[in-house]
Amino acid sequence: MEKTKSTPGYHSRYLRIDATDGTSQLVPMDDATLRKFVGGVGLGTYLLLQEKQWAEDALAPASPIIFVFSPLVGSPLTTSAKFAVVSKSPLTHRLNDSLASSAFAIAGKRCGCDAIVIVGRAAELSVLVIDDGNVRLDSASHLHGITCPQTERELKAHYGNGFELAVIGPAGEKQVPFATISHDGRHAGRGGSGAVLGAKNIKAIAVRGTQRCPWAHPGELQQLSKDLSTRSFGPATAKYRELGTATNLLAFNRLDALPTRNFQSGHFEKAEAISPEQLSESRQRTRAYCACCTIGCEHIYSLDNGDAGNGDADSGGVRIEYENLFALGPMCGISDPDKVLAASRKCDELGLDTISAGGTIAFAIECASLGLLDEPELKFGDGDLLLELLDKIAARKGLGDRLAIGSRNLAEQLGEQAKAIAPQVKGLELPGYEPRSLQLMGLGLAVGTRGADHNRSGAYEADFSDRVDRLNARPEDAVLAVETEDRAALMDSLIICKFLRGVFTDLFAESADILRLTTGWNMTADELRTIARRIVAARKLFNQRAGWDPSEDTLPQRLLNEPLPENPKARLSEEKLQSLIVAYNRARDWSDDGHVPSDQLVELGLDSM
Amino acid sequence: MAECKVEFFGIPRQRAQVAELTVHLEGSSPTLSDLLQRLAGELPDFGRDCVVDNRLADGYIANRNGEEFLTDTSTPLPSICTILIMSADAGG
Repeated sequence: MEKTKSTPGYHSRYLRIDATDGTSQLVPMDDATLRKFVGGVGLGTYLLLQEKQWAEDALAPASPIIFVFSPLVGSPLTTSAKFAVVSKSPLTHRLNDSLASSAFAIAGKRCGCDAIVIVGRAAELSVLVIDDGNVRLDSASHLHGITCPQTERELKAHYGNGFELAVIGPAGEKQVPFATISHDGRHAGRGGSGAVLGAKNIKAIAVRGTQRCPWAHPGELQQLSKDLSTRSFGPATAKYRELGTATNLLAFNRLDALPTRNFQSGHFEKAEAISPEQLSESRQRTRAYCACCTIGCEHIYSLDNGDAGNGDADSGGVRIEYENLFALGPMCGISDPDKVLAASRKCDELGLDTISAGGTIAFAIECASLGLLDEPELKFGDGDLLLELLDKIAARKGLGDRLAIGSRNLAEQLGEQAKAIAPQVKGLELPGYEPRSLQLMGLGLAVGTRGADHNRSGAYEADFSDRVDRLNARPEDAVLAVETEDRAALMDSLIICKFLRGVFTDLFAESADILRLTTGWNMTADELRTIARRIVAARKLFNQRAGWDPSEDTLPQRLLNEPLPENPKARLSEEKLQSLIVAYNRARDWSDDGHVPSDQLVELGLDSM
Repeated sequence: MAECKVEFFGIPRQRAQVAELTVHLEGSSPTLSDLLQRLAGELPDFGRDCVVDNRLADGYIANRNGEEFLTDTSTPLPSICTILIMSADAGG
């Protein structure tokens, strides 16, 4: 396709590939569409709705998986080298969008497109090669069953350093519904996008390109980028720079907010042993940065007191985030740092989402202890067992095959008592935020379109303030959960890292300026607030089309029926959660049960979708 | 007079170089500001990086007894209490 006039910051077209025969076409996108959805999760949701496959099984050939860039990718703005992966989730059967940062975003956009839509299924395990917009499928049969870092290493050697890669590990090949897509050792982690790629018989995507987008006001953009970088060195990001997200661990533990042994408790008595404060004293540690990032939140620890490596996918260390520590440590009752770090590394290698893997294993252990699952060897605190189970899940062998379906599906097999304690919402395992002691976050987790999701709702920000009683959230607080969701929708569509959120004085106004300099659009903060509302509504619309019903917006029964044993004030109930959900829906101008009304679809320009 | 046990988490702990300590504050109704002033004097690295004008620097927050987050530094402290000092950003 001849390139027509494009909006600055964009190529104004997407690449649609049918993996069945390797054919492709460039599809134009007009300025109005781009302005309505921006990029990332917003544009990805639009494209997913355009494909109209919401009723299709997530792993069916017709079900698309979409890699989406943004107008900021390739710019000098800090943290802008990000992309979104959008599809229907094989775990939740609802919309899934996972974000990742790496040079893959920059190289992918230089292929001359703003998004890559992939449908179909290759005849054999393949590498999808996109070389400056030219598409082909290469055989990957020799890569069958090998890990994410091995795959990256072999393909880097084969294709050369000009290519950037997104790959799946053994778990993705086996279509484990919580498999990840990996690149540079980072992951598009939640919701099973690795399984969707695996179902298309695509082991890896290799991208290389030369096509750059012009910026509307490059001089001013350069100046703004310098200013943002300077601010990114300030106190708002100090936590991420010095100890990383794992800093949460001991503070959450002290506040009874650290889910432990499958949410039986919010306090882990051995948390100190795996805390970053402790780990950084006893092990080598190094920091790494995503491409185009000035924060450097990645903290890489040595395994077994060896070398921490340099952060490359194949080096000796392991990246540690709060969620890895929580899910593979306290959630499974494990305090041996060697085991927790090794398990985290194993998930990276196999291409498994650490939260869903740890949550499902913890659930199975509790079911075994209650006699609901005839696996007497399952015990909390057994690190060797954890490592063994991760291998079995990725290979779908023995008990691993039962666990590989996730906690909701396993609970369906085990009965009502198991369903009450399955740590999931909409099938997605809960992250490390105890809803009974962070109650506004509990609301965010219950209503999330992706399921239990700490990345699309930041309601914990309000719980960690004097604006909300975290042990007794009220309906009037629900508007704060809406605000954090809207901010996340904007940041995930721009796309910039959420760890910058404290850097902005007014996210919407400053984002309008960023978009003016990149695209030339004269936007206001109010227009961006409307865009954020549109994106949240579009995500909900996809779910409605895919069969969502209001009963899905809830939390596990355990969290509604049992107070935390160590803190009886930390108590939720069905009625209380329902009152918060109704208040949330009203704050969104949705029906009380959470449907997006038709007049809002018209107002937001979603009525034709 | 107040007896405050102070628990540090994350960067505040690294700067304080202790996980916790107990502070005795004089006066009829000492405040959070009084406590921070005292801590800044006793723990210079903590004071340099975590305290500005007798309040916590941006990025940090205090919590009383594991229950209530405090931002108003004029908040009077009860005669016996525990104050937690941690990152204000709970993103993970």
